[in-house]
Amino acid sequence: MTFANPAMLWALFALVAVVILSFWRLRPRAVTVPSVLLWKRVPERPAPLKHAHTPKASLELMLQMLAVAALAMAMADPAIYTKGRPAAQYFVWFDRGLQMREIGRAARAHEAMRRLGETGIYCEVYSTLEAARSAYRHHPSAIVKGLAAITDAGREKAEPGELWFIVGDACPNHGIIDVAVAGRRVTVTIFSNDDATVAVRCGEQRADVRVADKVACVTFDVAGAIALEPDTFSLDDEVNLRWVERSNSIVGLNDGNPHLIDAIVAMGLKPVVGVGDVEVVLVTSGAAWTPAELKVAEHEVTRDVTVGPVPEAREVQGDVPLIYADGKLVVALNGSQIVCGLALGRVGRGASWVDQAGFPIFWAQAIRFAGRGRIEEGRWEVSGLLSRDVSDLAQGPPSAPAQLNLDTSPRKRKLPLQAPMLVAAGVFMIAAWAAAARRRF
Amino acid sequence: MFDDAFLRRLELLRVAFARRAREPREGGLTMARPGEAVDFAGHRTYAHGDDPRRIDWHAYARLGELFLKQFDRPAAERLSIRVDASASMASKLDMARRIAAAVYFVGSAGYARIDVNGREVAGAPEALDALKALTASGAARPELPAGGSVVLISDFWWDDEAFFEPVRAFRGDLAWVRVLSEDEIDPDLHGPLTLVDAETGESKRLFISERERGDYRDAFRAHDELLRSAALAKGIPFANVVAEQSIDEVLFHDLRAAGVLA
Repeated sequence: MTFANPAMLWALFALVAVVILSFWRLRPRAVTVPSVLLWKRVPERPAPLKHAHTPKASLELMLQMLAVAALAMAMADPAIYTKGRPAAQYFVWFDRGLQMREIGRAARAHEAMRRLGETGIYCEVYSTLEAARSAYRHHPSAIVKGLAAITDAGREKAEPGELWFIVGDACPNHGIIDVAVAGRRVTVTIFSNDDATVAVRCGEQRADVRVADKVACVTFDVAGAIALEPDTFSLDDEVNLRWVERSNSIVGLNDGNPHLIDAIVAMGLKPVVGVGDVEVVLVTSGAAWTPAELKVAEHEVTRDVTVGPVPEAREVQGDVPLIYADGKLVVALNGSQIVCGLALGRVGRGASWVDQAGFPIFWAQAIRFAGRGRIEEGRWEVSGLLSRDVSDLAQGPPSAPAQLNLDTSPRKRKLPLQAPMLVAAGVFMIAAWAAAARRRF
Repeated sequence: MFDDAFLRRLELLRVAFARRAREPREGGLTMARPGEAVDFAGHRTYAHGDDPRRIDWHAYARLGELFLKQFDRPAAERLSIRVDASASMASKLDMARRIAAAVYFVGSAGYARIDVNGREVAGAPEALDALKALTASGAARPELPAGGSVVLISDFWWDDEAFFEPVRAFRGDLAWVRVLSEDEIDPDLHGPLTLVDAETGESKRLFISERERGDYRDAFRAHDELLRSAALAKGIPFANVVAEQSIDEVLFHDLRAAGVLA
């Protein structure tokens, strides 16, 4: 049994008060009578606690205690979960990027999270989206935590059966606008007018669906999961993700994207050292990068990187050097290695680094972070559909959003017990009252 | 205290317990005591219930209406009303006052002097004032006069010699009216209690169950029998009255049945 308001269980101390009150009532109370002349002739029998030992009095006390206990537990809002296999737990991370704040996505994400909670499936919702977080602050089945908690959870939580979704938009044209659970099916609706990718990792197994690939349905067994293989990125075992030269499109000259830095922090990279007055423009034309060649600020800068003054620099604490030149460029370093490079935003459609590679990077990192748990059994179905054009962006949410469908194993159902507890408390109260009324000596 | 209709009904009653009252004397037929004189005082209209022997037939012959002859009482005749105003009477004092007032009204028709707890009263207003002035407090018992006709109204929570000795020594006509509340007859007490005497402050701790209440009822019956025996031995009319009763029932039934009034 779990309690949504466990603090209310302190009310169980009222049981002590009930017992004390019961004994208090046993004390001889003074009654003035016209004369004790005749009472003096009544033999005095030593039965000071006789009252307490009578079955009726004991029943009354027991009923009173049951009533108080039931009331206290009802206030704590108890619930039980049906028995079943260890269920997959859904961890949904909503992006709080600027794009998510546009065209009502925040509100839709809010609504999506509300519906997710209403399914009764236990989920932990980690959201950087303030609106969604506040909406779920009091939901009994959700533990809404901030981004720092994601980092901690990602490192410390390794529960079997966990399934982590980290969803968000990696560019202005992508965004998770809905997450719904119906039965064993989880549907993530992605708003995108371009290619979008949703990545899932279960233990050492990863799956990546790029809806731009028009993959209608990918079915895989978790025992032989599909490895994530972004066409221009690779994963190593040490430093998460290394960006390999993609094309000549990494030019960041646009609005900020604070969520990314959060993402990197959350992924455990722990970047540090925000150095101001640095402008980093990473131009990749031609040859591929070699991580050793890139240094930023006080480090050596490769031929592909231009460093210049940046009025607004951001400092992030962590283990891995990261310089985030707000509005310009993000470069994460691990020693002399590039951990992640990402231009923020886009300069025209098709020219953005993000459009072509950012999303996979983002999701690869997300997978890295999220891939702590594992799905014990079952076959998973991942499908994605996407059809949207950038010109529709201004017109609102898509009519045919992308979807990611995951068929999961059965999970526990929540059975709320507050109402039965209240009824029980009422019944006990009435019974205690009746017992007291009928008690005769 | 009483409305006019009730007072008219009270006129039908008379004090019955005193030997003077029991022995018919009105109309000059009988003397209450040797040497006592009876003086004609006047007439009053006959009312239903009046003693027909007191009808003035001569007046009837002349006037065609029934008149009752009234006589002055001898100056020595005195009615004493003693109301117990101790603390134990707190819940019963109102009934005691009503009984005393009624006895006064009834007795005023046949006694020249009436006192309430030793205070001689002349007229109903003064009698009522004397009764209203009573408050239930303390443990003092009403003292009996040396003689005369005495109505003692009390709860009689006494059984010691201090009470019976004056009764034995009393030379006169005495009537007891015992006023009790229902709680005293069958107390609704239970559980662990410390019973405190309203007058003496004496206390007794008891766990009262049905068994203890049964013991109390037995003790009550024994005490009641003791009082009745003492009353019987002294020829004292003894009326038991419940404070929760109606005054009508008390006066016209209980006190008449006991022989206090007639």
